[in-house]
Amino acid sequence: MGRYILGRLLQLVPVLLGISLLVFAFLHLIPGDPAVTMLGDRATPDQVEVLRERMGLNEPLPLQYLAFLGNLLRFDLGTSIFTGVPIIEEIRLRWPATFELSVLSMLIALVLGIPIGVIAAVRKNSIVDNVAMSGSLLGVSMPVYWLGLLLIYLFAVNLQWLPPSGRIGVDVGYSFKPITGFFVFDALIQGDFKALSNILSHLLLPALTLSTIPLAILARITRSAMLEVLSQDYIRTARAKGVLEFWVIAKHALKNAMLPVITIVGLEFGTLLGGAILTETIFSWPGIGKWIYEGILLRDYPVVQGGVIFVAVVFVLVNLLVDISYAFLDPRIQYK
Amino acid sequence: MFIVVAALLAPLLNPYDPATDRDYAARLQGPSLEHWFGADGLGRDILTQVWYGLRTSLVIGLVSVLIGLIVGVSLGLAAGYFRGWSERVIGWLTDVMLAFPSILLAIAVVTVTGPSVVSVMFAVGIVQIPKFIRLTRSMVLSLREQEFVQTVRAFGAKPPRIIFLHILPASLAPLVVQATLAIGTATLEAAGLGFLGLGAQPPTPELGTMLSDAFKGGYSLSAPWTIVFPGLFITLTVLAFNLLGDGLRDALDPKGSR
Repeated sequence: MGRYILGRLLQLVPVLLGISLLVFAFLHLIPGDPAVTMLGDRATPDQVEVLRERMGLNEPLPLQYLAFLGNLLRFDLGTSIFTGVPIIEEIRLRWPATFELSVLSMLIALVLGIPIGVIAAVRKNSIVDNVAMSGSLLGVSMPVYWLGLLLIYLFAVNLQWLPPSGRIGVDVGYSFKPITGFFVFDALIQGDFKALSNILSHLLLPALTLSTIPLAILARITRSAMLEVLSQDYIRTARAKGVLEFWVIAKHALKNAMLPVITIVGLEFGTLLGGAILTETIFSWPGIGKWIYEGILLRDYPVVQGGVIFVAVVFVLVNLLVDISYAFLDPRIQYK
Repeated sequence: MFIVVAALLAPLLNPYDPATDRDYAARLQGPSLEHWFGADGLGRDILTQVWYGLRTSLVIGLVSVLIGLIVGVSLGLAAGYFRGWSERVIGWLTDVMLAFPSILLAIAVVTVTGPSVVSVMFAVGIVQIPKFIRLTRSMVLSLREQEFVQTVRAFGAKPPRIIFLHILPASLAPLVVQATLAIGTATLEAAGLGFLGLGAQPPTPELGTMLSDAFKGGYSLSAPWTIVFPGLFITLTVLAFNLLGDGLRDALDPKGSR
């Protein structure tokens, strides 16, 4: 087991190198001199030259890449051109927002998606099954940011039940003191329930929006995995032994149908943790996705570079965890 | 099922009389007899815009999937058939590309090439490549060991002949299904780029760009028809391709559908 984990970690090295190489290549493919772009058209040639020297742009490309790689290994992602704040600090500030949003979205998707999939499988070809599967097809066919705009229109503008954007209301935010940056956690440990309800109300609409795709995919995967398992001999045996149908499904079938479901949960969660550029933008959610998008608009290259690397690494690591969790969940899988 | 798809697609592909005229008096007007879907912030008829936007989106979807299909299948065939270092390099490339969220990869490509319809086609096409590589490679791996391939190889057929005359035709069905579903995803991604302002540039109408105009213009909430209809037609288009893909899978899968 330990050797398997070590082996998987070693396999990550070429992928991580590839990620760094791709990001580096992209930034150098962007037309125009980065120094000129960053300083604007009115910069003097001297100023441009100073920045080029500072950024190491006058070095040969392979040397620049090695320097870039060396900095990466020391977690030095540079500083944002516009705020002057180190990228790693910017990520530390923004990631809690993305993390909270991802967790709640995934929870919504799990709590709704798995039961819907199970019921659809057990009642195969019934009205419930058809409605659930059509709904999930619609879920993956919709642009999520469009759904987000419609939800804002309905719940924030028309009904005025929920706030349309941001992480916390201005009035509550004034007295609220974040400690870790994870607002829900901070409000809980301070026993500030007024802030907590305000924070949760801000979370709800973006989380609902973001949960549609994982929810739809989970429902479909759970359904097909359950159908596969329910046709197995041991299920028939359990039924023949007189095990109550509820337990056949809950204990015997569901447990064995979880493996493909976990893969999807990992993939989707990895994607969510990278920040949802579109959803965060429409809800003005101060997370990683919106930050990267603003970096692109402002041509803040260190932000884009650091942000993109962060997102890709998180995705790769989450998938590594999923792979490792297999070994615990299915003892039949042999690892060399 | 096919009728549903045909019904959804037929009106979309019907050429509509061009009417890019602006009617400033009708600016942000709600749906009426004159403007069925209302008018946008520049007084343009939304129905006409949606109609033409759909064509842009469909062309982007088709072309980008074609790019992904051609490049992905070629690389997948090479990786699966020749194995060895080509498989390792292509496999590594696939892993690296899949580590980036697709929209981010697409944004990166557009940043390099500059926003335009052609850029979006390339960007979304590149994003599709790894999926086609994986699918093709896995099929080639199982096919190359099968008897009919072994037989032609024993008769001395050269690799290109084996690949293009025997392996490729045998793997066509799953590829067609994947390509159909990919058009749906590509349309969504293209609209996403449009929404971020990286897609078609004015005056070319595009559905994602319409949503972006409404959102950035600040009238998406006061004049909801400016977002409802473009979004609805993106959804319908993607849904149609997803239904078609599912239908094709059921029709082409000899083991029957689940």
